[in-house]
Amino acid sequence: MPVSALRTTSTAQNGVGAFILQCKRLDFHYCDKWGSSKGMNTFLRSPLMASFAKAHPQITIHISPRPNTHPIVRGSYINGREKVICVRNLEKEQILQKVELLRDANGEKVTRVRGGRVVGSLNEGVRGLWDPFHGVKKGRLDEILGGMGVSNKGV
Amino acid sequence: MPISLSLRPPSNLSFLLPSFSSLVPYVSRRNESSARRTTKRLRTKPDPSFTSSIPPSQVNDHIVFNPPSSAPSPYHTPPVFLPANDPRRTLLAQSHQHANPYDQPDKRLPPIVHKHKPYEKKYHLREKEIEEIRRLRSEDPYKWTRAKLAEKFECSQFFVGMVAEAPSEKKAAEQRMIEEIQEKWGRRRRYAREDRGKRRELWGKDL
Amino acid sequence: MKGLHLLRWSGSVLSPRTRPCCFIHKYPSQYRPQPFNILLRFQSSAAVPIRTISEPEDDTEPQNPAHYTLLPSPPPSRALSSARLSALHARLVLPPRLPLESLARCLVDPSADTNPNFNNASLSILGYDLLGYYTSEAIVCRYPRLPTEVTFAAMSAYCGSKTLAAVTREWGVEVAAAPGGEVDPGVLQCTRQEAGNASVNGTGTQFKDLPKVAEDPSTRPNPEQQRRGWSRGATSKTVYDDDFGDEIERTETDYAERPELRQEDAQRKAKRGVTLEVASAGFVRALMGAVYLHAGKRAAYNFFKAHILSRHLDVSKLFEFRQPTRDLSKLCAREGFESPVARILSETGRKSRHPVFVVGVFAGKDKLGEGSGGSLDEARIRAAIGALKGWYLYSPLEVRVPSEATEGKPWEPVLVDGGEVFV
Repeated sequence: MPVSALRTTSTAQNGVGAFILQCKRLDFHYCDKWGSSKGMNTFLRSPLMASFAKAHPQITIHISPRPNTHPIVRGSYINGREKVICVRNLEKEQILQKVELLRDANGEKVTRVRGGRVVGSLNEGVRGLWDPFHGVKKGRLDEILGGMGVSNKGV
Repeated sequence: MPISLSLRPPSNLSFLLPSFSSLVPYVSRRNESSARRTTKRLRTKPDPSFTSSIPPSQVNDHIVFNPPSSAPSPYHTPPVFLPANDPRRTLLAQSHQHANPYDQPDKRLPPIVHKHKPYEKKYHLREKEIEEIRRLRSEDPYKWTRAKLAEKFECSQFFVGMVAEAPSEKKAAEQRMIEEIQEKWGRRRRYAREDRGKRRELWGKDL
Repeated sequence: MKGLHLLRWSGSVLSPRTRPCCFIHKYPSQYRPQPFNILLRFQSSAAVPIRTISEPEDDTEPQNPAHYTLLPSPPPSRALSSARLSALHARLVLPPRLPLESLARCLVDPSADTNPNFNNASLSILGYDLLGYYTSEAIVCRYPRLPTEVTFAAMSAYCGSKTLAAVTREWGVEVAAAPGGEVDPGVLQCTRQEAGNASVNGTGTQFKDLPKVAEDPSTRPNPEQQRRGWSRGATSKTVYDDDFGDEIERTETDYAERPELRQEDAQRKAKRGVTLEVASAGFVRALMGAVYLHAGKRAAYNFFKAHILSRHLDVSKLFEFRQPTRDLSKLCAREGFESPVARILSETGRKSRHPVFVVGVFAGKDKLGEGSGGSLDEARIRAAIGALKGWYLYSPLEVRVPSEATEGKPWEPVLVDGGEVFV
């Protein structure tokens, strides 16, 4: 057989075709007694919560009491990880910010991306991987272009 | 002032420093040692097509021809492989930078890599000679090996193997002989041979 | 496929609903739920013929939620109250015409519910064909010279079971530990195959050590050749095998010829369960089929483009050559080029420990490919591989696939190539 093939799988590129929001579940825990839950209780009753839930049908939202503790918001992600933010003594607008942070996260551990402007890509660069042994050599370029009757200086 | 200035006379660096360079203050000072290591290496001349020999009136409408110094991508089909009705064929023929440099009458092609000594195929063996090859081979396969027959009939060893295969007992005996030799190999030689085979497999996968 | 109005006849393709679901509440007099104790039928992986509802009409849906445990899979009525299910619907931006009940049905694997009226077997067959059609036209039209084996590998990379299992995972679909009527309809329901190293009924013997019942049944006319280690040619794979060049399991026609096989296969399958990979692939295929039936061809194609075709695959990495130099000279002989010659373009350190050679393959004065390596042999072989890939990976500038043929512009035939090199 002249050529055989290697079996692989294709790689997902979230957002190239469909975009799948990585946050799939948000748990809101509040306490009825503690003062640190005051903002949380206001947030849960406010139209902010309702509009957030309406705007994000792809997130399942669970609200449950967690007595005698500080209120928290817990995000569950498609990669199986969770992110928890304690929202004690926060106002409802501040809680909304935290919730949006959880919504926008992808669940990965927060790591520092070193090296300044790092761009990752699955595709090779247009000019390929630099290699000293390929391409037109200096001198040969002039030779080639000269042979074709073309000057490489200001064509 | 700085040693770096004496090391880098602006006249040498005209291609790095444009005309407004006098307005740009030197912010970094280097020692002699670090200047040699870091800045001298940067003094590679850019490609001639980038240089400022172009008159200012033509700056915006000239072609910069700077082909990449990289292995060609397999997705770039060579012009000969394009089908006759593909529009790229005419486009590539028109654009001079992709034109074949070896097409000029005075250009010589690079030297050939010889795997085997080149030979002309003669196609001179007829039915009678082939019968003779088969007869000799079956008479005494140990005497009439592929090499001997190829020499006698002036053909390639491959052709001999094609028309007259060795009998299976000879093949088995040779296989045994090879195995006996391989038995005697030590660890280092065996690993080296195995690794060589694995590397060869990787060539086929283009890795 | 041009003028079919699928929505009109989708009711006949989709099996009739016999358990209560949404529209039953609207027309209670026409639809009566079936008793769930007679719903267990023999498992089949094939499409189901239309059945008429002739079951006794005196049973009703279990009012007590505890009775859900008697069902093999959640009843369709519960789909409307599942937060997971509607979140999944929204996450995948499925067309609004696809009801939640259908999405719930896509999540029921035949290993969980053997009743073909409630599992996704029929939808998944339709989805398998659609995915195969769309993927193959995308690959074959974009790379018309791709060898058959590589086409199979590319097909399997885009829509093979392994990829679809990854897609399911990336969609955030969870899997039920065990299927049942009481489980949330928003999770994938399947009976998992026992792990190879699991103990058989606590005896300490491992499942992988048990004697195998039978080899996987195949539709090939000569399955024993495979067992004897005969290789299967690419041509026979296009005739006998599935979209990915793998063997097909038995189908309804085979059962029609030898009915005793059905019982045997059903028993074996029921005993073994399925792997998560198979169940996940079945779900994605079924969803593709459901989108096609409920929302039409355009929506199905968009769904395919958004979730399958948008994935990244480097086709040039799928090749594996054995004798590239021989293949290239055969190719040049077939296409009427001069026979290829390897020429040294540049080299360094020939006498050193790490030489580098750059070799180009030329047919006459035209360079076909270029490769570099630590020896002349390596560089020559890599150059031949580069040239062969340059041939096989040719892609036309404008590609219009056959499924887009009906939209406006007249159809222009795509390039059909002479095929791969045979030696």
